[in-house]
Amino acid sequence: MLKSEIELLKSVPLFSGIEPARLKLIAYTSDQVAYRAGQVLCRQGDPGDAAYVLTEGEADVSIATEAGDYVVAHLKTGDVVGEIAILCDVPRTATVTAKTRLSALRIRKDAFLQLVTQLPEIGTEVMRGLAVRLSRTNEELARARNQASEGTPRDKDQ
Amino acid sequence: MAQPRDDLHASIFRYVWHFTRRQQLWLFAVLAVSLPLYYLTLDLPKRIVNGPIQGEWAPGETQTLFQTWITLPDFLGGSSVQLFDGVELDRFGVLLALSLTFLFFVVVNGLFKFYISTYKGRLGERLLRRLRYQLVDRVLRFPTGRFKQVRGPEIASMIKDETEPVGGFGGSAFADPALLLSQAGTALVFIILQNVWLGTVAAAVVGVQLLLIPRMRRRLVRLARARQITARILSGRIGEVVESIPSIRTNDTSNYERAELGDRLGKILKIRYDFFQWKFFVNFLNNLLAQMTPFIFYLAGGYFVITGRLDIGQLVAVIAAYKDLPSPLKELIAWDQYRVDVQSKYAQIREQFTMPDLVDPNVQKVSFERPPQLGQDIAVTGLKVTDDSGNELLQPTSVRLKRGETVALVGPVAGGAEYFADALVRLAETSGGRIAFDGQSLDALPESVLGRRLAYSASGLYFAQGTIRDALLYGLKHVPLRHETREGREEEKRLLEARLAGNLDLDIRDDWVDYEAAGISGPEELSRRLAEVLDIADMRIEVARLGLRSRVPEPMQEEVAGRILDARNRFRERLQEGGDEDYFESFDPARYSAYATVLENLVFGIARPDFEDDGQPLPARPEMRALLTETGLDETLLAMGRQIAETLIDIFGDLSPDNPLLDNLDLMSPDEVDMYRAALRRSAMDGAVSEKDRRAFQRLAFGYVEPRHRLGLLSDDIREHVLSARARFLKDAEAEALGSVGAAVSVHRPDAINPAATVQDNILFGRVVTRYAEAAGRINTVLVETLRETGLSELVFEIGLDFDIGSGAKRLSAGQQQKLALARALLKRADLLVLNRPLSALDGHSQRAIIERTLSARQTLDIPDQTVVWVLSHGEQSALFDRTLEFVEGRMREPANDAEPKLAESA
Repeated sequence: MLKSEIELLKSVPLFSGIEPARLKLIAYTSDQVAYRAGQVLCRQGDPGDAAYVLTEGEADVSIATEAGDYVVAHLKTGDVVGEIAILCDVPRTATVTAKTRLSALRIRKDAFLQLVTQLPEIGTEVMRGLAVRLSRTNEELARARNQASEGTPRDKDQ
Repeated sequence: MAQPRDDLHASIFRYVWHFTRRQQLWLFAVLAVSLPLYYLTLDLPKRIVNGPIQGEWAPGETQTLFQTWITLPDFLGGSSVQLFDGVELDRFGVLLALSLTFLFFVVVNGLFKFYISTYKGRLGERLLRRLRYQLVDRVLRFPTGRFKQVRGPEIASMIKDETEPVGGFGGSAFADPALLLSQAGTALVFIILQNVWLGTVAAAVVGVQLLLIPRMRRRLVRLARARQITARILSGRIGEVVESIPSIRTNDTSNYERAELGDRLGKILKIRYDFFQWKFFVNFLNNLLAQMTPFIFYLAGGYFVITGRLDIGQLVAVIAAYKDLPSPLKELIAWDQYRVDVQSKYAQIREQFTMPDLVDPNVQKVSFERPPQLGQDIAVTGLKVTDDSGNELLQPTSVRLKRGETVALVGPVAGGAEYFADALVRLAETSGGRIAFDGQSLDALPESVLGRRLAYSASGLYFAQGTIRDALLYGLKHVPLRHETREGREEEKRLLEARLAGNLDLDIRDDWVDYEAAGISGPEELSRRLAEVLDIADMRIEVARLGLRSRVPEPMQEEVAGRILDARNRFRERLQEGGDEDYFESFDPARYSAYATVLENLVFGIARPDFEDDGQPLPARPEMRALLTETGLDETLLAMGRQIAETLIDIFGDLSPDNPLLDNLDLMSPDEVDMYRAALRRSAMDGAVSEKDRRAFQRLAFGYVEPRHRLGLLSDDIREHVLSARARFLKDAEAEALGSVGAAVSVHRPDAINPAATVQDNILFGRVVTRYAEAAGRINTVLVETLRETGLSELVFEIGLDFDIGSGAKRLSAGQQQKLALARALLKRADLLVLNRPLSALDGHSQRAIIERTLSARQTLDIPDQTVVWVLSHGEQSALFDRTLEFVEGRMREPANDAEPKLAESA
């Protein structure tokens, strides 16, 4: 139902700063979709056209490698996937497969972009969310670099 | 038909006489018989007045009656007169006898008139039919170039409207003046016989009338002619406006068109006004002249009576005779007017339909013989095409096309390839050179050879309104090959009439389809062959899809209902077998369908297509209002509607009305937001809801679908409530107690097909659970499998073949139209297949696939020797052909890498 969907959207970091009235709009313009276990929400390499917020069930995120599919993450209720796709044109970077019977709120890219164009305050909030995430990613990257530079000789030893 | 065809004579009289000579002579004969009777009706009143009424009668005196009649010509049937000869009657008896005789002749006269006017009418109608047929015949024989200049609606207006008076004139061209002149003459002679003076006066006035009035009416004829031409151009312009609607809408020229059409209408009004003014003036003058005569009769005649030079009976008879004189005269003048008008109209029409280069009728002669195959090569020598202003579109080109060869024509648009291709089927007007099939010049070939041994398709071919089947079979309908024997008087009359009007007497109701040309033995194999050619053109699946989305045609319903119900069951079984039940929600009279709207759930059916919609929505109809009130659903839906309105206004209310986000509203239109806001405020204030607001709120509730709108409003209670109202609705519908509501809704039944629903909906009988991302695709697959398994694919294809493509095939996409045209050309299995960029609306990939299939179809359709000439949109596809000819700037060259020996040369 719309009410629970709004609650769910609030917990999505990208949307957390958006005021509740606008979250209702996002929820109303999205659709509920359901998948059976084993069905694919989105496939690596396909153009991204929607973000999904899991409302029920679990999913695996996997990346195809030469050695076979490699599961990189598990998603559970309340998790969001594919949100980058609704902001820019990038192909899916991973395949998302339903692990159980699964329901999700699908936020279509065209609907979301329309929201952002029409209501700039949503855009601002999304931007803020992205910036927070970017700085966090930067920190993580720096930390990873440090670890890498410290760890490299050790790797060689092994 | 043995009728000479080229016979629009220069003069309307010669035209009418040529075709109705015998009937006209018969008319004369009948008129000749009727005239003396007419004279008698004039003579008798005088006898009655002078005899029994005013004559001097001694009491008891008798008279011998009818004696005098023997001196009259014996056309009266002398014997019957003889019977009364010598009958003596007293004064009252004479009065009675003479009056009865008068009555008798009045009746006989009337019967003659009746016969003559019916005869004339029929004669006129036949002539009209003939004239129209001749004009249509001429349109079919117009030289190809002529069609660049003519406007369809103008031609239509000429053939339909302008011929009408000309046809009617056929009946009165000779008979009317003869009758009227003789009547007027009789009356005049009668008057002169009574009194030379009065007669001379009457004759003089008549003379003035006959000379003056027609002269004054010449102007009317000029005006009528102008009116005719402006009206015809108006038809043409209206046709253009209809055709150019896209240009009008995208250029904002609707007001330009309004002004232009208004100006034309203004001109027509002016002409018509002038016309009426002059006409009434002439009428006034005419009437004045006609009234002059009685004035003289009264004055001078009265004087003669008083002075005793004329007896009163004679005067009465003269006046009575004169009363009959103006009407034939008036009619005569009217006839003359008619004549001049028709003459000018006829000349006008004739001018448009007479041209030196009409196609020879022999070229289009009916031929029941199957033309032999074109066996040899096709030799093109020095072929040249020039446009109207003398530009060379195709420079002299010579080439030899071998039998069975596939030839690609490539080159830029207007490079010459299309003219070459069109010239091969005689569509381009060549200005030099020769094309020869089997040594026979193409120019000399009758259409019965060209149209049966050659096939042609191009982009933008026009399709007449009809079904897909009609469109496909059009290329096979040359002559009626399978006759039905029809007998009876009606049939004889029908044929006789057709011949009397010089029409073709082939019967359109016969089976015209040339099955043999399509390579099949009869109608029973037709569908299979149609499926084959549609498959080649990549159109078969689309036709089947159209069939799925069509309703079951009424005559078929009973026959196929069982099969559709079987498929309905089989579809469910298959869903279960595949474990896909949750992808689909079947309609069930006892269950609420989550994916249908509240209204659909309530009435459990769909709108009947044949219901005459009077604009009143279903829930607003009185029977429905009553049902809602009685079941208490009225309040439930009102509350629900208010909640929907509140939520939607809460979400969307602060957006400006032009915000595109409002398109997501779905249940209400953006313009309605303010209306609902106000309605909410009103109902919050005093609790009472007006009838209008109530309906508005309920409208929201009626359109609500829980899984789509997700407002969580549809509680189990409401569902139950709707279901109990449904039960009531179905019961009332069964009892036909619902009036217009019952007539508007076609109810779903698990055990029967719904005639208002499409084939697809009848098989599915439910809704796809769209919440499942993969449901729609899976259901489609299961449906296709079910169709195949139950053998309904063929039925669906058949129904698809009956799909009405609309005028100009506007109900099909451009690509579908082109595929259809190609399939039609293939069906004929011609010796030469000429295709002029036939698939320009398709992408290169699809074009290539169809080219490959078309070329290999020569084997499957058993026409290995078919020569194919294909003007390609994409040059690289030429690799699929035996040979490539390139046309650039009107010059042909054969690329050097071609394996074939060089035969082509450019002069």
